[in-house]
Amino acid sequence: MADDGEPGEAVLSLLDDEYARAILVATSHESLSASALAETCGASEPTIYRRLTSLADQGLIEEQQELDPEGHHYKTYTTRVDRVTVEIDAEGYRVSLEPSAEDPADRFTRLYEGLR
Amino acid sequence: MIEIEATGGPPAAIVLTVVIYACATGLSLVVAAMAYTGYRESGNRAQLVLAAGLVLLTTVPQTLRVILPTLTATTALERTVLTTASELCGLIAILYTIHGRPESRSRSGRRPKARREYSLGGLALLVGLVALVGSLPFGSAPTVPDEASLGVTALSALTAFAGSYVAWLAYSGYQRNESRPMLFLGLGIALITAVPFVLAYGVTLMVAASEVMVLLSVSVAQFAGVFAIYYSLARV
Repeated sequence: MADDGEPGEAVLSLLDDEYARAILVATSHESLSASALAETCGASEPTIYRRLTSLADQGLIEEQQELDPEGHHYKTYTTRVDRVTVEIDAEGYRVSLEPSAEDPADRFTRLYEGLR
Repeated sequence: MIEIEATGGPPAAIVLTVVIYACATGLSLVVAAMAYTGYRESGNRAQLVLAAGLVLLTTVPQTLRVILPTLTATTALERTVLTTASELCGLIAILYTIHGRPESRSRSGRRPKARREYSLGGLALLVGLVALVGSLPFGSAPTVPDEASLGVTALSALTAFAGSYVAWLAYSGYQRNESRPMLFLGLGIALITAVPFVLAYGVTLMVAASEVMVLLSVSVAQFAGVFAIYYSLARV
């Protein structure tokens, strides 16, 4: 979660996108694969993948590895933010993200893998 | 060199126990170095607390087990309190990284707030540690040994319980994310916290095992636990 450049601006322009918002809503209550998202959001898979990359870059979604019944790996995506706040005062504006609660076991795994 | 207060077993078992503890201590120092390197590479506060937790869980108790009987005149009971308290603090630190929020995801200048929360958690840990050490019957021999050993049993039980919970969390992290390191981390934490408790308190009640054999089996579990954590930090 780097604070480089004007990350707030990147988040705001990303939220201006109709598909990015649709992805955030769709994966807010369940993890979905890119093809499931393409169907839900009515967009092509390349469009979905481009939005997913931008959303993940801003820390708004997180990807997980899953195994299908045939043993193939595929990725699912989960929204990682509950609230985006824009605060405005004389000095400018600030964009802050309120992360959504993460499963303790997943958080433990993510933190421990970061230590390796 | 290292004295182990125990009677009723073959001398070879005592020597073996000492050798196993020495190996576990060496390996736990490697674990500390790896955890520190991991933190330096990530630079994240959550990883710092997690690394500190691992050190308190492995390196500190293992080193104390070798250093205390060699250099100080502490009783076996006092040593158990110190090593168990360190393990419990390590588990609390790990639980804090999981359930607390030592890292900030804010995109604005909200870092100071997160730092305050982090300091509060650290302070709570420190107070807990000081309270535990302060409650030690240092200086005078415990006048009511039964009461003291009851306290140690309660502390050990609490540590075993917290360890089982963290081990279970690690195991479900392995299941949910197919992360093999989490499998070995969970195994290691169980071997360091829960298994020695069962061996020391449970098995003794059922089998008439000699004190030396219990100490030996506990040392084997501790070594296996440190090794499992080392293995989980190395590239699996």
